[in-house]
Amino acid sequence: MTQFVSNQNDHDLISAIKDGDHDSFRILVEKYQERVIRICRGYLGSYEDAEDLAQEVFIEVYKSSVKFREQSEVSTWLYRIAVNRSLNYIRDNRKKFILSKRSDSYEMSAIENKASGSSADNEITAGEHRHVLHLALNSLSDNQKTAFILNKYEDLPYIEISSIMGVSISSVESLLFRAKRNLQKRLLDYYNKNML
Amino acid sequence: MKCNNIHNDLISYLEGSLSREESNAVEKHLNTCDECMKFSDKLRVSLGYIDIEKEVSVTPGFADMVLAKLDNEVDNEVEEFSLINRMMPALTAAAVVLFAVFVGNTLAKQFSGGGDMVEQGYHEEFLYANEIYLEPIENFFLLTEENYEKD
Repeated sequence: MTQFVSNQNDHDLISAIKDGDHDSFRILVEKYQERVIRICRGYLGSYEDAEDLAQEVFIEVYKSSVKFREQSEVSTWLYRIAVNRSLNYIRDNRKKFILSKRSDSYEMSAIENKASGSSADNEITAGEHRHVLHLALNSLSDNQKTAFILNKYEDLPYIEISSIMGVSISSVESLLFRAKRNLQKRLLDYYNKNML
Repeated sequence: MKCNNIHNDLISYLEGSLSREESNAVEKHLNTCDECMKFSDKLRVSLGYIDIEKEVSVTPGFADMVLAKLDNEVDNEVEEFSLINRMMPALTAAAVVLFAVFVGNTLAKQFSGGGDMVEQGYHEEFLYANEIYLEPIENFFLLTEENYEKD
């Protein structure tokens, strides 16, 4: 029975979930949990926050399954919910993100100043690299950030990113090009001011 | 190749999306420019964390937590719904009483000269508020006094 259920395709799972079948919902969660957490983590940085948000994403999937018209792939729909939830989370917690940005920048400068007194080459730690990366990612526009995260964190092809974002493939290419340029510029500016 | 040109190409160089020729040009510059080499190294490390963060090890029982949260939310919704259901008879009775009062008031005004009553009440109030009618004796003396002064 379990084998039969686990072989159900995504649309069958959604049909069963619409009828309130929790077993099918569990199968869907287990199938997509890594992907959803990975996407949320790309936006939020913190693994704990990403897991919490991923739970919310799946609950929204369950509740809005009745509205799913099966005109797109279940994975595309699920990714879209994860993206929207992540962007909303950042928007709702803008204050926290701005504050954390400032405090990160302050902490980073303090670390850098301390390091400059003791070492000629200012090495930055793993945690600092990660902070810098997410600060730079958060400085991108929502669309650039989304295209970059779906491509780099989830390795999705352009055509799937275009379906999730509802834009053309050429727009995805353009968004990715600008995202990489901006990300690189932000990171190099940061290193230039704080690290070198 | 200038440093600025290298900076624009570093991310593409690091992800291996440059042509062999472009990649060779970047490498040649990096070997002669310490600053660009430092940038390149730091960029490589920072971007390398994407690959590290991609490795997700889901907390055991994640699906159970989602289901528990879902059950909890459904329970809360049911509780809210049942609370509304429990209050419904009282709310309905209150609505009926309010409606009856409103209808009764309206009918009373229409069929028992409500407009005149209001008008009458206004006059009564006006009369009582008028000091001349309320204090006829004082008024009498006042008039008398005035007449006296005039005289």
